[in-house]
Amino acid sequence: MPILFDSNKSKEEKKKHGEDQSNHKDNDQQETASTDNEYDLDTLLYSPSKHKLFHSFCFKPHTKFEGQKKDEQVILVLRYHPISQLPWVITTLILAMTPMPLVLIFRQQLNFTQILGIILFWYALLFSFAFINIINYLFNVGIVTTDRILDVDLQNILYKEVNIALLNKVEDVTTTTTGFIASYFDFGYVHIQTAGTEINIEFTNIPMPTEVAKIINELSKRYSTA
Amino acid sequence: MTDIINIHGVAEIIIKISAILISLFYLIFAFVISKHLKSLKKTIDINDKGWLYLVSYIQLMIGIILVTYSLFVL
Repeated sequence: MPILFDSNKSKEEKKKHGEDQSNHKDNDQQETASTDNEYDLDTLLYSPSKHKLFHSFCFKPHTKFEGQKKDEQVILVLRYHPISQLPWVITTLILAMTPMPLVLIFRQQLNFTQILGIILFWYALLFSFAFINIINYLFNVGIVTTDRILDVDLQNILYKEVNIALLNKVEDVTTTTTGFIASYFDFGYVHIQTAGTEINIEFTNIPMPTEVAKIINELSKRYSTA
Repeated sequence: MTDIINIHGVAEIIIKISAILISLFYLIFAFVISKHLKSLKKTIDINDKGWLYLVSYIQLMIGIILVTYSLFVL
């Protein structure tokens, strides 16, 4: 599958123009060669692990999952971009400050034990709200291995859905970035279309969607050429 | 009429009953979450060094405190 846009190539071009060519010519050539091969399968399999943006983009993590084969290696673990989690974080912070004015308003009507009870209940429920959202963030993952792609979805806390697509069935990988915030912080959707009746997979609000698409393309290439 | 039905007393009973019910639901929910976390960790094993289990047990403790408070203090 063709790679439509290579952000690293443009970075390299900027570097070449900005730096003194006479002093760094040899270094630049080496860097260009290494980044051109960054998403080659051989380079991918032997490069060190990386964790970025609160573990939302984990490259070659030491993660295991249910049903993993012995020779199957996890290449990517993807979560929502931290920026997309801001609404519930802000809501939690606002709700944490809410009981104080309420207590001041109702202090005439309620006694001390009742006020203490209300505060206890309020913060207990808020704690649970934050904890559920943290669990949602941690376990709503997309996993790319050397054999397949998995999409683990927690619709609510007690509903779990796992979609699996084999890499040799991948037909097309599409990335979508919509809006100013998504463009600025570089996150978006990756839609993976599979052949036949296999289920299509979509990773939502994941960081660096173009890089993810490139990696999936490189991995699926191996199966299409084999 | 107000002498027969103490409005303040009725309000206190309503608050106590609702507090007991909410705290019981909270305790059940905390228990379910702590059990469900184990199945989630089986699906994908993340290296959190036991922090999630710790937080789920804290939630369970909070649930017990709430039930005790609403039963014996409120």
